[in-house]
Amino acid sequence: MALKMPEVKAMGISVRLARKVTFSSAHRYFSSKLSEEENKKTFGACYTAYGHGHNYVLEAHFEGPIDPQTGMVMNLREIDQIMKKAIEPLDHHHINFDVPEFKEKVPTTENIAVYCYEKIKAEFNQSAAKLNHVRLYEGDDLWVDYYG
Amino acid sequence: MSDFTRVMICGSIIMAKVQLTRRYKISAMHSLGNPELTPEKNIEIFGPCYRLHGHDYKVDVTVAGEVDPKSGLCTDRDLLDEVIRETLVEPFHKTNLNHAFTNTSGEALAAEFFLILEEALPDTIELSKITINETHRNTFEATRD
Repeated sequence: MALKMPEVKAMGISVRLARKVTFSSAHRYFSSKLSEEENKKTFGACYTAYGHGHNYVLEAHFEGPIDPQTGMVMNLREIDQIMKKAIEPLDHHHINFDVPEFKEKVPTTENIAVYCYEKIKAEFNQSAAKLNHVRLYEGDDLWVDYYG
Repeated sequence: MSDFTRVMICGSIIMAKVQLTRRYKISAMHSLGNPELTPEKNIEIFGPCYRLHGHDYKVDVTVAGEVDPKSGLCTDRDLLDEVIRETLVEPFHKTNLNHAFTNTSGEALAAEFFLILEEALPDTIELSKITINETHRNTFEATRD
């Protein structure tokens, strides 16, 4: 049972890890490109004058070789820092008003998932570990996966 | 149209391939560290994980199989339970994992458990994935390439 970590890949086993963080934000489904009627029709209950909020859960899935020195694909503390940086602009903010990327773009779960993916991905240019995908839960009955 | 209906209409057996996941719990202690490094360097890399601590691991075992048209089952669940109890739960539940493995990171455990089960499961049960929940925030998956 003394498996040495570099052997894992040679044995044809792939390992992937996922880390979860939560953030809470307000948003409003509204497109300036649509009329009031069209906004109402498109977004239904999500289109309100001010908006509403969610407790989002962001999962980032990473893959890569296992570092023989640590036995890890990537240090979770390093991942935490990167994920924290990605969600900080969103956490306890009104996304439409406070996040420049969403001045024009509708902050749907889809668009926020893409935003988080891009933010996290940008930190991984030099790293051996790669971001495979992100999963963003808006609630426990709705989530979006984005693979880039 | 359900697979059952499709079977009836075609008159021949078409079996749907599905994946079934069963969750097992292992509470165990471990510490992360590299004995070749100084304690200071270990603390720098592993932080609180360098200290002996424990987890209620949730081990999700995913197997793949075709749905038997008669039983509606894709695998022998009792046999699966028995193999996992004998090879994972009994040997590791309420133990120090460092006694069994050179490395006990979530990544390493997922790979180790995958290899153990691949060896132990009979040919009739196709192992597809091991997912280890270390805490509610971390999961580690091991699959065959």
